[in-house]
Amino acid sequence: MMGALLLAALLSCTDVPDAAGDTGVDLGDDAPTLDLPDLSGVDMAAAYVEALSLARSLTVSTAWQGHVTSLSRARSGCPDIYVGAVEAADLDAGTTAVTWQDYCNLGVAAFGGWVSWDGSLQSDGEVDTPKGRTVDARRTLSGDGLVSTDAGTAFEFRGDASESVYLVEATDYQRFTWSSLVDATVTGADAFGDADAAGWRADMYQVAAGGDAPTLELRGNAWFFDARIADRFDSIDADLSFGADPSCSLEPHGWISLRDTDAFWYDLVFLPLTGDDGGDHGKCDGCGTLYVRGVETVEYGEVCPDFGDGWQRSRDDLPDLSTFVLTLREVLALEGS
Amino acid sequence: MFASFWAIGLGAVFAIGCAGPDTPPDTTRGLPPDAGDGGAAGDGGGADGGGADGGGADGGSYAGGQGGGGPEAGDDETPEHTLTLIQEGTWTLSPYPGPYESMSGELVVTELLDGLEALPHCTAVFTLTGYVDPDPCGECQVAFTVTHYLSEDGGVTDDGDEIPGLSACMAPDLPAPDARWTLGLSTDDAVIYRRTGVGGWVPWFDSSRRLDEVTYAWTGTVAIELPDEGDG
Repeated sequence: MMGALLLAALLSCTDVPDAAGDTGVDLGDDAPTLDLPDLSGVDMAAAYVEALSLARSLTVSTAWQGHVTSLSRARSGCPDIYVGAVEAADLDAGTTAVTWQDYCNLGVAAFGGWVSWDGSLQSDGEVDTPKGRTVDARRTLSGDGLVSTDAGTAFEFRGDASESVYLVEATDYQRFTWSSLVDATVTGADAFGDADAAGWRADMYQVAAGGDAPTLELRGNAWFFDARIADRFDSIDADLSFGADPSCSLEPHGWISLRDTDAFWYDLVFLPLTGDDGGDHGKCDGCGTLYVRGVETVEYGEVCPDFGDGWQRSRDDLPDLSTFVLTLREVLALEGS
Repeated sequence: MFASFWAIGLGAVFAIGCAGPDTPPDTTRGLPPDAGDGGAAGDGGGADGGGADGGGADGGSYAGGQGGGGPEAGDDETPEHTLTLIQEGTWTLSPYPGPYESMSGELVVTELLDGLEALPHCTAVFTLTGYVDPDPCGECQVAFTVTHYLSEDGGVTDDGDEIPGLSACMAPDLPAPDARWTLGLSTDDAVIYRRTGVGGWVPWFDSSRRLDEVTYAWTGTVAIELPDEGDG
């Protein structure tokens, strides 16, 4: 009997306009048609250029600036300054990190949570010599802290960040590698120098070389709380590699995606990151293929952003190396002032 | 119950077996290999999250006691333990009365847990020798490249208790054994500056000079969490 029913069911599949009418089972309304987003009026090429510029700005420097500036609001034990391991920060024993950790209110500023930092700066040699100077600078920031004032958030940092620079400067020679990893939420006027800047949350890794053979790898994602790329997109996700392929200088390897506020992702795909030929994406023509994904993937066509050399970092783009070390003396002097 | 079971069973058969005319065509063409996982899925924490999880992004200011739940003036907790960091010493400049070409001296490092002088948390003594650096800071009369030789590492109290050495010291800016620092002396500011390595100078010690003798010191007090303590 079961076999007969199954056969009957399969035979009836040729036209079933309304299954509920035959079976008594309500299958619900037809799935709504997905309206794909309208991109008319949006300069997607310019949007991706803007996105890359924003992504490059997601570095430790912004968070560090906010941290240092917010500490200038400290006074006499608010916040408490710790040396060594602090349980909340999960620091290793023997660490040389310094931490502010407190829950205090000065009236003009309030500190809640904790932020730990550490840094080192080693320099050897002289710049204007054949042998030159090498500089090895590193800094880390981790925290779950909020500094606020009557005007709002002065600095919020939740997460981890680290940055390093290795620089060789000699007569007629310069080369550096720089890397920055930010896995954090950063907000506040002290970080952005702008009371209206809402901030971002990012998990972004960048590593760049400069000097004789510039390269950039940029990998990760970010959500901008307020800023909008091309007045439409609030998030970036990317895995891009510039400069590593001598056979193609017109476009990077990898992809970059933008998300609009309706949660559609727009993926622009360039040459493949892996060693395959990339199929349709294997042409070195400065253009990527744009896909839009909702429930489905739809190919919108070619987009050719002119990144130019905007992806390159020069010596002047490196963070101020003297800021890599924030000494305990400086911080205690601030608190005592 | 039996009839009901079969009704459901039939419905399931129809639902599984039928590809009706309204079924959308399969337009999936397969995403490019590198874009699929990360880019389009949006599974990165950045885009899918619900915003800053603290008050910051939402304007949750609590300074001045205006926001709910923020620190009030009386909320400040005192750390359970403090560490007093003391770094002091002397320089002898030569040849007197200048221009100076070299210096010698010592740096004594002492750290006191909760101010307990009878049993320091650590102690160490560096013997210093230095030669003049041709590029002093703008405020300085003279600068030296100073080598720090660790001459005493730890000690013993009057009661015979052992005082830990340099490795137990917590100050983050201590010289390593044999470290060479460039230090500049400004008698006008009564400050010894330290060169950062990329051209900058930062105040390091308060100092005073009398003839060819310079005494200097820096003292700071910080909080510390001892092992197996979670709150400070």
